[in-house]
Amino acid sequence: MRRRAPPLFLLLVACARTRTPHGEVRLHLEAEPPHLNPLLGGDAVGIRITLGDVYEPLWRMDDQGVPAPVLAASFTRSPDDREWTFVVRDRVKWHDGRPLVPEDVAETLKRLAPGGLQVPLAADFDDLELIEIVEPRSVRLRFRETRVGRDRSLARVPILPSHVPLETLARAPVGTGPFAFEGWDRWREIRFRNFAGYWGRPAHLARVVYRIISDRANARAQLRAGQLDLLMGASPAEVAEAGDAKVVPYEMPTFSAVVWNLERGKLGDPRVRRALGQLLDRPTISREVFGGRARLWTGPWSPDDPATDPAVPALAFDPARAKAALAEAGAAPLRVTLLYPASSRQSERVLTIWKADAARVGVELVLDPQPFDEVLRRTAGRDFDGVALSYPSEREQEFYDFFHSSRVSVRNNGGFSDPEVDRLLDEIRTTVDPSARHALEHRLHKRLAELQPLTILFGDFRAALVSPRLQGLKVDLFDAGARNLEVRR
Amino acid sequence: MTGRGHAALALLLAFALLAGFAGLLPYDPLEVRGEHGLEVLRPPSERHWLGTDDVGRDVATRLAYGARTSLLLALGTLVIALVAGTALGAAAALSRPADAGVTAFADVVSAIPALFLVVAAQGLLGRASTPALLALLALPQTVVVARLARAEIRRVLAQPLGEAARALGATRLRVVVRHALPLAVPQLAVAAAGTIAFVVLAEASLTFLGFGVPPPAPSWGELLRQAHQNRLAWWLAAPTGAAVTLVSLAAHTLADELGRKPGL
Amino acid sequence: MIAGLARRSLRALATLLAVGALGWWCLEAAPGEPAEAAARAAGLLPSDPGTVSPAIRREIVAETARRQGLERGAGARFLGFLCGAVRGDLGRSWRDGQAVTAHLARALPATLALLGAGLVVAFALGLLGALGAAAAAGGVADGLTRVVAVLALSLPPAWAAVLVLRAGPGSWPLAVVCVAYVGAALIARHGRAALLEAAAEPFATAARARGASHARVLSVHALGAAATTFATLLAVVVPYLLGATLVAERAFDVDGTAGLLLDASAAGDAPVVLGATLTFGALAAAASLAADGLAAALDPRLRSHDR
Repeated sequence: MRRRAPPLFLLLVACARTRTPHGEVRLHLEAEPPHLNPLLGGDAVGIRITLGDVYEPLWRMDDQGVPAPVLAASFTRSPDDREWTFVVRDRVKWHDGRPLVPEDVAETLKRLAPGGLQVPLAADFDDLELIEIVEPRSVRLRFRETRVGRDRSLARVPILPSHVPLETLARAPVGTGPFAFEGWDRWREIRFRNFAGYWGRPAHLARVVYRIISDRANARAQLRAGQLDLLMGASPAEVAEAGDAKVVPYEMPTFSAVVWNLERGKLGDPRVRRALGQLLDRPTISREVFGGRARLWTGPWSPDDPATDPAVPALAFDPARAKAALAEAGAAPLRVTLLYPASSRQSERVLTIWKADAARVGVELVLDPQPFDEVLRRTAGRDFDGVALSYPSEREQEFYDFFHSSRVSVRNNGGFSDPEVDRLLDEIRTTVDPSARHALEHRLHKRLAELQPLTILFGDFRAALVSPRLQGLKVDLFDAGARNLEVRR
Repeated sequence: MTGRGHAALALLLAFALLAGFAGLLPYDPLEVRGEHGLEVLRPPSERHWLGTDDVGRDVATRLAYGARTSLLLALGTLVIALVAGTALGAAAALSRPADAGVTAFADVVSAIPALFLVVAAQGLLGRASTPALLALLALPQTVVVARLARAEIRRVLAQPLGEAARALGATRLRVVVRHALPLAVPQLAVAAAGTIAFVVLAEASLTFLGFGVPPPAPSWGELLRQAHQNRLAWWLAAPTGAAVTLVSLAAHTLADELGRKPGL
Repeated sequence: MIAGLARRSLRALATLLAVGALGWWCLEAAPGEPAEAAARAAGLLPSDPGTVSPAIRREIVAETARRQGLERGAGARFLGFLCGAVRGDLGRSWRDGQAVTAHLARALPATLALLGAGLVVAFALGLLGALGAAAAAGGVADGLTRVVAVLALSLPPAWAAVLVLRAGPGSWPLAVVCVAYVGAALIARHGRAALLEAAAEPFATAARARGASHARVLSVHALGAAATTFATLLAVVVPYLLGATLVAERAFDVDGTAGLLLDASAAGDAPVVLGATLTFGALAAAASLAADGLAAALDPRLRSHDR
């Protein structure tokens, strides 16, 4: 016995050594998130840094599109997909030491059900009829309709602790994930440390620090000097100056667009909106400002997405026709204010060129740069003519929140309302057969292109610049994936 | 005045000419398209002697119109500072309560260094338009002139010349206007030259930081800001930096020359 | 002397309070609703108002106004601000609800370090320049120094930063240089004049008659006599250095008070803007008082006697 113990002991020590989390990374954040509660939505930054690392969903979708269990140890679904029952995993602890109980799951979903919070995530749960806890650790849900992608919707819901009020969670998240919140120096950095009591495989890193650097020139310089390990949202010009940083392209496409407020003057007329879009010289701007890397999208989905109808033509740069259309609509001369985040020099460049081209046909575009906080506030308060922002676009993303007339108080900030679009959106979410669904999506694409509730600027080319010592990065706009990162010794 | 002074004056004149005749340049400072369409961040070439900026506008044109912006700001600040400052200084020299008021005003304004005043005012009241910026820049300069004028006028009033004039029946105001002010002109000229240097340098720093001339107006500070964000585009930084340096150099030299006591 | 300094300190304090009052008045005149900004800063109103209906939103704003006393009359609020300011409470940031003094405490060390190092560099370089120019008075070196000094005075900090940053990522020593060079130029210019003036005094002539070299006369005797001028230069130079830190902190990404002021001004966070501005005013006033005190300490003739 005694002779065998030392080798075994050393083996255990060796295992413990490699398991000990080590290393600290500094990751770049472009802006200060307004809050750190991913359930509230409203801003991608706060979601990205907490959704997978600090909070956890019931399951995650793997690369094949099959749910892999996380907080739900197992689940069953009825043949018509209307009833879902899952077993809440046992022996899971919250960061403050309390145990995860089925009430936490039930409360979280109750917040998204009708009568709860009006947040973007709630759009997928507006037909949730019943939530009940089944002893000992199961939760059962019943939906009124059969919809496509229910598993994907549930994979996006972070489970929140029912014993901590929402206000507190906005400032100091408490989750079940491998990283626990350590501190938030406003406007400087947000820190997370490795959570020792995590139920699953612990993360490699001991600490993750998100540094808020709004000046991109400084962020690039810090990356080169080794003071920063990750720079998100690098434009083609920045990629060209990458040096020995690795370039990791985004897998999820994003696009930039100007959302119009249909209640402002002549902007309610689709001819006016189309004309404004015809004053933007996309191909030339893509070539000059984006080095040819910005793709021209005709709708809110990437050209490779099955939802995109390839037959829908791009809105061509045609100042003469735009001028004629404006005159016909009685909208000449026209004055429109464009709200955009002041920190985005890229937006400013595109909008400045648009402004100059518009001025030549008598359209005055007034540029209104504001702090990002203020842009979000005014967008939600519908206090804008047009607002320029970037949006993610997952495969066949259902833009229900953006375009359905019932969502005007949530994400449909422009007040867009079209009965045919409403009908198409309702049908699409319940059509299971792919080819039938694609056909409906094509019709939606065509209708949106005709009515132009928003003017698509560009599909973004974006990449992340990563320092050579950082391993394991997979760029996901909704999940920073810090739990998979490690540093090379 | 020495040769140096003449050279400085000539340089400032050249700067004024550049600003005045900026309109003769072929390109429009706001136009992003040349005859060859949109050309962004191009280095200097035959078509664009100083290249193009990050939205395709001709840099040489922006530089010339930026001279106009700086010149107009400098002249405006100068005029306001000289007129208001002299008036305040005279009032302070002539009346005790006015003196208290002006001194208090001067103390408050000069308690905060000038650039911070401009930034903070915009932080509290919102971004300034160009006229508002002019007013903000003129404030500290007015105080400088007011202090100068007050000291000079008080000196003259106390001198035998002043007393003699009073004895002959002149009002104190008349003494100020006819005797004190002309004697103060050299010092005011120095202050004026200093103001030009101050405004040109201040505009460059403020617009660089985002608190100066609002976009898309052409300005030297705006070109420097683009230069900071596009480090490889040397044609944005070098001509602009040189222009600001040369103009403030000329103004500083002129101030020195005007302030020289004869014989030194 | 102490009484004079104390009096001037009080006057500076009163001036700063007046500035604060003026700033506070601007705040009142500013657009926007303080109660809503305060509620958002306290985290009661998430930026995405999809979370709360407009009616509840109005209620939260009203409640915040009641709790923070924002519905008192302007006069009452102003008095409250003054009392708080005297006690050291400058209010709370509108962006994150943290005490303004906490923000300042965090940001001040970096600025002080930059300023302190900048002053040292400025005086070192400036003195060298002044001595060199005075020693070679009328000669080539003198002319060269004069040209360099006036060039440095005319060089915009923005361009200096861009030039320096072309070489590589911003480092702190380079930021110090960008802050100090204008001050160095001023000290070289004024110092040269002061040294030459002192060197023409009778005591200096006497020293030379005793066999001291020109250099020794300058660097020991004249410097000692001109020491008070250099001390008073402190008051002149510090405002220039402060202005340069505004550009340098932004260009070199230093986490200091100037950066705090710029960010707060961009976001319209009035309490922080006011606090940071007053801080810079205090720094300028402190420099002025220090200069006076130093000069008086060096030259008894300058000590004021109840004038």
